[in-house]
Amino acid sequence: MITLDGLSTLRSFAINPWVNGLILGIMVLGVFLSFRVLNIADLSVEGVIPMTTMLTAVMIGADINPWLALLISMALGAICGVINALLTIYLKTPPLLSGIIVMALTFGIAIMINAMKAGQASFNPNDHLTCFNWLRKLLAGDSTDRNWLFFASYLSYIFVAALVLAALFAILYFFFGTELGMSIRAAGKNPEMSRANGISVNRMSIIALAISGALIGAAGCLYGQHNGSGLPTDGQGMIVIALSSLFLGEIIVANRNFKRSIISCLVGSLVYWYVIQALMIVDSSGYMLSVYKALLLVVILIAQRFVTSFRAKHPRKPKKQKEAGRVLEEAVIPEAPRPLTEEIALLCLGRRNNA
Amino acid sequence: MLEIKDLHKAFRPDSNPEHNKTVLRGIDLTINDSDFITVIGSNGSGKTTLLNVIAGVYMPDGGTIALDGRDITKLPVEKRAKFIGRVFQDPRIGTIADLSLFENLSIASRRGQKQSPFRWALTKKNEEAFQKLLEPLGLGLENRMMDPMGSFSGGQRQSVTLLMAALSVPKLLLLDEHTAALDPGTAKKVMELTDTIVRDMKVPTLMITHNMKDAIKYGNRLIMMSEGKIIFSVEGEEKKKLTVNDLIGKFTSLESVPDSAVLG
Repeated sequence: MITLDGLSTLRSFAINPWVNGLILGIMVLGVFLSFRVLNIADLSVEGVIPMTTMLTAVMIGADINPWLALLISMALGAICGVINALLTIYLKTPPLLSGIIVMALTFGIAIMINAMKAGQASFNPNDHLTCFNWLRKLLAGDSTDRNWLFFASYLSYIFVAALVLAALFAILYFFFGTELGMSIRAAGKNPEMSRANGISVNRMSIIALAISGALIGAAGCLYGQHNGSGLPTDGQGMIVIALSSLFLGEIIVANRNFKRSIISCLVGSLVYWYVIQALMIVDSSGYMLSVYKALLLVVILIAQRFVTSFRAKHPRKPKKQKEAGRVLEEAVIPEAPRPLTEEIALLCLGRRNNA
Repeated sequence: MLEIKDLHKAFRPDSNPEHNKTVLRGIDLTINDSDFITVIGSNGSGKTTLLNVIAGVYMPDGGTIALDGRDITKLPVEKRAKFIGRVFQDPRIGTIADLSLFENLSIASRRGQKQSPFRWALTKKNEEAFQKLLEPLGLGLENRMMDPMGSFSGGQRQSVTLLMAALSVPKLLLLDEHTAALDPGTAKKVMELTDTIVRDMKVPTLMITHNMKDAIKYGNRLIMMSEGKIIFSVEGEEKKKLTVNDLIGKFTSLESVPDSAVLG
């Protein structure tokens, strides 16, 4: 028999992961750009998220248009990404350290705002317009049915988050198919070859980190609008969440091309939050959650190893090969024995090398 | 025409001057437009460093490099890429494993030009042009345009790199032991492809090789490096008469110098 408590558990299980998964999925896309496209472990997420949630809470509280707040947050995130890249390029700091510096800076700003607002960086969603509540008002109308109000508010979260996510997804997908986007992917994967082909690797990393920062800023802004408040602790554990989602997505979706890679980020994010929701039902106390998240990341990493080696052993069969490419090695080449003199010459070279 | 004058380069791994390693000690070399020069020399003689300084990977300590009369000594790698095509020893470096063959060729075809965020990287027109280019290789690569470069063999990747280097016709082609990581049969094929490309496109070329037969067989000029200097240079008819034994003679005459004199 389903109790009232059981029903609300079921309801939160069906809805909560979608809200978190979609909003923070935008952040996962940002981390994917730095971690996978540029091969940089960028920890600045932990600072950029609380900075943008707090700023958003202040901005919404001051009745600034929520979409403008979103753009401002994205611009701030992009600036953080540019600072991060410039530190690496001009001060030659290791990328990890540049990220930590930006994290400390943005976290500092979050604390500053918190102090200025005396810990009250929050707003009442009933009094101020957000990206979400216009839709809830539209759906709920004059209804006073509590269940319907509840449903309308969650529907608005999911719909708006999905809308923003879809827009950003499309921009990313098309951008990385252009000449500039392809050059960024090339610069991250093989800097040496990229330079040899006239691509400025520094410029590419500035652009990529700016986009990454903008995505993280967007996630922070929506997260703040959803929470109705901003706290300096909002960013805690965000890098664990982002990397867990990213790896989980890669386990589920084999990323053979760029499109599949960005889809895997979203799939990973949704599945991750379902797992977290399940853990919260098993243990509702809450104070163990960070420990669970850390352990979950370890489990995901172990699974990733198995899946990677499995995929290496069982490669995907090519779907349609018009004509099996003649392999160069298989071409019949008469094997001429190497003349002895050359062997001696090689030996000489070897000896000089050892001397 | 590339003119190199009195090129010097030393590596300083740390602040201790005793650890300095002088690699180039005054290189003078002029590469004419019709030149295909092969470079030989023992390990540590400075061949690869010379190529890297020409390509702009390392900045020289002294000397100048001029391409067609323009001083390019201070130009960074990505700016030089417009004029200089390169093929590396490691097949994995020359192409991007995670990107498709089509994408790799597209990058090379726009070498030295602006990358626009408003133009598609892959176009139908390019696809057909690249397929025409790949067909003569006889490797069936033209049917695998969308496959990631990592799924190709070393020989195939090296052939593609060569094609990429020659794609937006450079003023200079630098080949750094580009057949060294391949098996003898594949190496021979790639060498023949190199010769065809260099001749067809009339690109001045500098090729490092450890294979003395290749060094004699290909190109119109041969230079030998030792201890950061060019110690021997032959061209034209004289080079054609050269035998592997002659070269070994050169090496052994170097060998007879006491180690202490060399290592100083």
